[in-house]
Amino acid sequence: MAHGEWKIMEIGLVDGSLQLRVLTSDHLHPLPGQYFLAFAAGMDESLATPLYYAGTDSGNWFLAGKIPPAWQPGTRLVWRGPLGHGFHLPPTARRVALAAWNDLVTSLSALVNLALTQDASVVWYSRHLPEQLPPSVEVLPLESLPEAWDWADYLALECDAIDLPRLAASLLLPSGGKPDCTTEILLHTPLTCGGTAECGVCAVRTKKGWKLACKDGPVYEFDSLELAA
Amino acid sequence: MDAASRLEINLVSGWMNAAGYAGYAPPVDSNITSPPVAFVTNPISFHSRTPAADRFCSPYPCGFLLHTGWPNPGFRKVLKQFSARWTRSEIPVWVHLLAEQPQELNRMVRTLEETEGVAAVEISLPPTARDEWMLQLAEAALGELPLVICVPLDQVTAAWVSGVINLGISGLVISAPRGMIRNAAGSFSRGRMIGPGLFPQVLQALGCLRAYDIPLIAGCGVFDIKSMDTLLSAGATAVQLDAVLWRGWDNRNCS
Repeated sequence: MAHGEWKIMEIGLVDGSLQLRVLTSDHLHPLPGQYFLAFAAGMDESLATPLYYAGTDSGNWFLAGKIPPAWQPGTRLVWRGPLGHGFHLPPTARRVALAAWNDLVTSLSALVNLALTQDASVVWYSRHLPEQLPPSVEVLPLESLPEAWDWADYLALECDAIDLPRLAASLLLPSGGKPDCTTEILLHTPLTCGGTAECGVCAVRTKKGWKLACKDGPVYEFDSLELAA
Repeated sequence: MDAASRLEINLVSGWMNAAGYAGYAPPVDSNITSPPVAFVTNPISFHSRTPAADRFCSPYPCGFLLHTGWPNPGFRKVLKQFSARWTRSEIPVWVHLLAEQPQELNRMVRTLEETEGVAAVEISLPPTARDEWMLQLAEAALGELPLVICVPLDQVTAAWVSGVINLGISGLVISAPRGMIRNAAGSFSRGRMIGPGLFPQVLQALGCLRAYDIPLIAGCGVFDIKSMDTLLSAGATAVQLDAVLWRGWDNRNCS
């Protein structure tokens, strides 16, 4: 695991979520869905903030998460990461569906760029009309998400862990209860220890027992999860 | 055993992790340049515990409230999985036990006495138990290993504290107090209070407990080197670090 310092270059609002821009010279290649833990040096912060890799552009990284209000351009961040498991977009995927179930969207935009790079058609399901998607991305309301089973060969979801049962119910899973295509989900839970302590606050119930989102997640194969409340 | 036959904990001055903040076996994953003087395991119960259904982490100014239910695989599984690393450890390992039933606690302590690499037993007592029950549990944990008891910050003046000291325990940890916060649903949630906002109270508690002639470990509220040095100079034998190990240590102000 790497660690270091970043200076915040810019903070912007992207589709209702705050994103940081930092300059990085680190030769790291995080996956969308992986996260860094960062805190502002010299401020009285009790916890590090999980920052999800949201994309890159000419040596800049974009990072999304619940950004503390005290952070400003110029704030120096002490970070470690990348942590956890991210999304694995199959190189053969040509019909990619992305669905943001909650207002906090951290990692799906990075998947858009990856999918377009491999000439995939991309559909974005959301409650809100996103502002910064490439024009080739089709945008559909979240209510249309069950239609994705008819055409997608890869589906990526993002939601709060507490909302998983409601999300699962709304997906109208095909008979047998299994997704028809490779389906991954980023579950938002408190990521406090970064996998160092097994404190359990981020625990997620899977078909193989309890797993810790801080190190086994936060991205899971949808089919591996226990979906009942 | 009584106060006159107290076992020494043989701890040098410095920092160690608090129980629940560094896993079940060393090393401590931290960016602090000085090494820890001991390692404390995550809390271990006799039977396995699953995560609390209502687990949460809720920030407030200068701290946060955490409730996990202390999930752990249970004493036997932890012993099987980690005791070899305790034996190999270059620093003393303290095994932290969740005291729930005297008989179970006693069985765990007897097993640890036969386990190589265990330097001390640290226990936390049920937060709302009666004084007599606290004393029964402490008595059940006494044996051939030094016994250290966690006293939550909000209980340092409780009657049971002098009672357990008189039993002949080897040290006290001033640990995180409990608090309540209103949750998103509008009801109240209980959990441990963690954060630098506790520091003045820890310092005050240390002053109160110094009246007892027993090693004291400051176990919450420390998030920087200045706080650590202040507690050590105020009489703490050692300092336990909690969530600052998760956040990361700010090395800018370290000497």
